[in-house]
Amino acid sequence: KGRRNQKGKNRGCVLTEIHLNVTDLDLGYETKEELIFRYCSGSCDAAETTYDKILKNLTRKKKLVTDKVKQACCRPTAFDDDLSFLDDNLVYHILKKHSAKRCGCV
Amino acid sequence: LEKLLSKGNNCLDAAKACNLNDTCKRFRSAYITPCTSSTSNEICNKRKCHKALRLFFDKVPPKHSYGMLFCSCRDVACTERRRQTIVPVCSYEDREKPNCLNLQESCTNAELCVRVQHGPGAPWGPWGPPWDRQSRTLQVSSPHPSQGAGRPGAAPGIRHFPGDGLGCRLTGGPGLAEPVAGQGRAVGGTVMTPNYIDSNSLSVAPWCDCSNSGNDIDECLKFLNFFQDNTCLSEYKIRCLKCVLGCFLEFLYCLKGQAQEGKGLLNLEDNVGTRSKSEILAIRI
Repeated sequence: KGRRNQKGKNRGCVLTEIHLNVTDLDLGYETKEELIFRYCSGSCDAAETTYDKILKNLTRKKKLVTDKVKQACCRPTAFDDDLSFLDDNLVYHILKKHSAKRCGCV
Repeated sequence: LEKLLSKGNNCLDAAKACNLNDTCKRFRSAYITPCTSSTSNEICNKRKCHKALRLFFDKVPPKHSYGMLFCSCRDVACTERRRQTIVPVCSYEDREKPNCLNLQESCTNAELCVRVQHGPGAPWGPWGPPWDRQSRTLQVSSPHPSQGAGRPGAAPGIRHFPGDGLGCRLTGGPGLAEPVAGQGRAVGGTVMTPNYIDSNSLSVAPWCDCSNSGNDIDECLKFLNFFQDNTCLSEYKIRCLKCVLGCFLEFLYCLKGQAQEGKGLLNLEDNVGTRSKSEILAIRI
């Protein structure tokens, strides 16, 4: 299972990994190579900053012009190293910023 | 048979294993990037590609790096994948094939791979005269293996093959990365980069031929044939893959740092199975 987020709050937001075929990514590559895909998941309910708290309060009191202001999301704060693979036509490809390395509520 | 087929492609398995290992994945991408990025008027920056390849073979655990380079194959899909490991279109091929002796000269000038003779009577490898000439020119000397070379504290960059009285040294030169004390360079990733010639055999050769050799034709063929007709490299084929690996390692890794020693990296005795020790010495470069 994934690691806990460093700050201690929002313990729901963790890095999780799954072993996949490159074709599972549906990026259009034809290859038999595989990868470890790491992603961030979990809730960011515990408000992290005063900003988040204020937003929550304002939303509750319906004082905001738009309701589209979002709460903090569990997202990658750093990405894994590049991944390279050879496809079935013997062409190399490199994936960048395809997999999470660290997660945080941002 | 079904089990054999489903076991499939060793080279693919090696690539999968590499991408599941963080170090291998990182250094693989680190060489695929420069080796496949075209520059304004070239296919790639060959120098950057070679440098990244050397790093790959230096830093990645042998079970992964060799796994991709020396995987055994039953079909063309596999051998083609194996041939592509070093991205030959960038690291290996060139517009023209230079003469092998010229290539060898540029190798020794740029990134010394010097075979050192320790006194009279020490055996010479198949390259004989050229190496002899180089070693004289370059005045290379190193302690005899029995005097502690190859152990911690020995001269950096020189590794000795116990018993054969030979040492191998590689240093940097103009236009190349600075040599790191204690670390040699794999031949893979130099101007002498050897690769598999085709999909049907285990024959390997550097990118050169022996046309226009003049009086040196014999010397040139001797050098080229060492790669192409090396008994160890071709004769045993799959059955002797471990042997092939051992020999190949010798020229890819003759200069590997001492840190790797003693970990079975060049432990030919382990790799060659039934071959006798004298045979092993005979096939060493």
